Amino acid sequence: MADYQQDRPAIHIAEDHPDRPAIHVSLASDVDEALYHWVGVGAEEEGVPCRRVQAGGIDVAGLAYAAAQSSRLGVGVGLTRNQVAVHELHMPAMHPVLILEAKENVPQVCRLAGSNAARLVVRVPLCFNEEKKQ
Amino acid sequence: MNIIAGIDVGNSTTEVALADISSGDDRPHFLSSSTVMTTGIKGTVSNIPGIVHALREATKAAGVSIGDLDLALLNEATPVIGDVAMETITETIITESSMIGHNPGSPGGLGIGVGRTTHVRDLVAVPPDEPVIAVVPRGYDFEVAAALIARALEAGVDVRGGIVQADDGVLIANRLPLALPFVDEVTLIDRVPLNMLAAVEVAAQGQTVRQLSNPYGIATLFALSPQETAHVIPIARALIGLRSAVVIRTPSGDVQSRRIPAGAITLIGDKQTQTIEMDRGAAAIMEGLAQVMCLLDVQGEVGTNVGGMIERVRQTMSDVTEKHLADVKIHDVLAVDCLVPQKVAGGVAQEFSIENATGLAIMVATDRLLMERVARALAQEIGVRVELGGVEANMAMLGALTTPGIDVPLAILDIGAGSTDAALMQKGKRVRSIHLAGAGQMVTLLINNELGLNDIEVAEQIKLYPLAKVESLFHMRNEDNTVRFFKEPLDPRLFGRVALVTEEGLIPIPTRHPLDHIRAVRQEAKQKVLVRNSLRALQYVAPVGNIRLLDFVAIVGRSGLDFELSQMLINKLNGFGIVVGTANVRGTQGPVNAVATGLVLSYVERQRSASHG
Repeated sequence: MADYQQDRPAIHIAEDHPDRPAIHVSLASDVDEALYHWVGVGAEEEGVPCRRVQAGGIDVAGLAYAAAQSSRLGVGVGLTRNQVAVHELHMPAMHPVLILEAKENVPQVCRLAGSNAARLVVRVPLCFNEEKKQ
Repeated sequence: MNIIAGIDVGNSTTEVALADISSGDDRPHFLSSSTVMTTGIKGTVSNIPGIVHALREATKAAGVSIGDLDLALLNEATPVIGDVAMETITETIITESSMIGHNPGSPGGLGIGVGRTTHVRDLVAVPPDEPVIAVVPRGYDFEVAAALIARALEAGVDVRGGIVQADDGVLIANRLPLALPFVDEVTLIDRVPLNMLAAVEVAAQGQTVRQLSNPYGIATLFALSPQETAHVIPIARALIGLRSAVVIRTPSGDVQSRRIPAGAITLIGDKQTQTIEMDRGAAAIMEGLAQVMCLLDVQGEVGTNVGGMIERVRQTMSDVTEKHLADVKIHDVLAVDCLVPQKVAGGVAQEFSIENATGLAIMVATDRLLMERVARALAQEIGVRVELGGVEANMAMLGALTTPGIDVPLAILDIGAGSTDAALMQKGKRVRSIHLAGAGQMVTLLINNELGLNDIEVAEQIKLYPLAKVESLFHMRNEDNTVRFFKEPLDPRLFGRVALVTEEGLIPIPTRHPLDHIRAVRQEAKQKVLVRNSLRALQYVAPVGNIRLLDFVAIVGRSGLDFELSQMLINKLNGFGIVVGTANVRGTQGPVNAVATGLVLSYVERQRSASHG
């Protein structure tokens, strides 16, 4: 199964065209890189591409804000050890659209953040933890 | 000072007008007004807390206390109480899960596939020449499911599509080497029969299924005979307008669209009696009502939906008025057709189908005794003399006449919560008035049912406030397409939603209906109930029943505050050459407080003629 995944990289990674509009995702240095994959899965569900970027920023809001600034869609996701933030270009820097606690069930939280980042792009209502379909 | 209070207890609000009548001249000096929600059903002693609350507000605003009042005037027996009910008259039933049709947020892939339903773990074992549809329960993560399907494809298995329980359709479809259709969010996937021939169709974004919503399309896929094709018509009909669908051919599976025996309603008039089958629709009932003319009572067929509905109303009224059940007479009925989304019986993905329903508003007459009881209880409660001050329609007329620029002959229109009332005043003639069933509550009921909200509070708010779509975190588009920008970012919970624009800010509506649909339902409900009933009521009070003979109509009551109703009525009545406008009681109150003001004016008038006579 793992082989299969490597054979077919997820279609949403747009490395060939760095200018192509995508949600930008920035991870703090101490975050498990595999979590980027889950943000991508969330966005893919809504049909929006994602790209991993190296952006500055000291906290989760800063990471997400820098990512949003560099994204042509104006939407960014920042990940730190305990939190995930979704940011939008026009929002005040210290005021992300969403901050999710990522202490447990972290892949699901990342997927939700990716899904909401994509929802901001396609303009459909956001999905909050408590209403997430079970 | 000599202070009196006019009190108007309505179905939804209680209003007070406070006036000082000691000045010596004929004109009372109005001190203050108040409006609070009515407590309990109009005409019962449970109204007292609301009345006291309203009096407290008004006296506080005037700088006096309830004890300073010399007299309180209560509106006389409100003659009517209304109630509303609704029954569906068609239903759709799926037997043996032969169909799945719904609009998940994001089905996966594209196209149409036909094959035998096979559990995803058993795919590899299928011989290569047999087309299959994969069935994926929630326990199989999208990566696992995609890997299993991809492996089966590599092994030569002819996978044609899939049915998925979780919201993973896109993710699975994206991980396969072929574009295959996947219907997802099928909640009750255990009910999907395995090893049966099934067709899965997913339409492109912005399109709807074509093959499965076409009876001949289904016939082509399953090689059906003409007789069998006739059976799939309800299935095809139920799938119209959806983005994804599954049809499964089971030995005895069937979708039925049937009419519920809704029963008949009997309209008993003074000259003739008519019995009308409910499933003939609202138009037939209203036509029957016109033929029966003066309605004495209404009965529903025993043991049917409509029978139960009418008896329920009668029982409520009997409880409230403490009259014997047989003495509660129904004096008016308003029937309205509507389309309501109903959960399909036997569905596996919470499918809805649009069914026909009929809403009925019913009205019974009460008597003066009721309000006298309230007056006695109120006097005891506040220690102030309480009198019944006069017939409601006359009081409303007196209040409306304080509107600047208004004169007799005048017709007034008061659309309340429970009834639509009209009255006509001509020089030298008695005021003629009518109360009809069906008003604000009926509109709320229609909105609640037609949008499938299951929440009367939300329906009520949709009735009262204009809509807007929140398009970004910083701006929204109003229902008239104007755009409003905000300095501060909006709550992310509002993003992308349709919201109500209220005094307290934006309130998101918990539904997936687009703005245009909600707006159309709201406006149509107001047209069907309020505008139509206004015409009915005005026709009744107009000279020789000819609405064209009316010159001036003033809208009073809270309906005059509705943000669009006045315009609707003006547009409609302009066609009859009538001048229509919203009353402005005392030049300050707008359309409300007419009855309370009229009670005070009428008292002063009576005092004066008594002292002169």
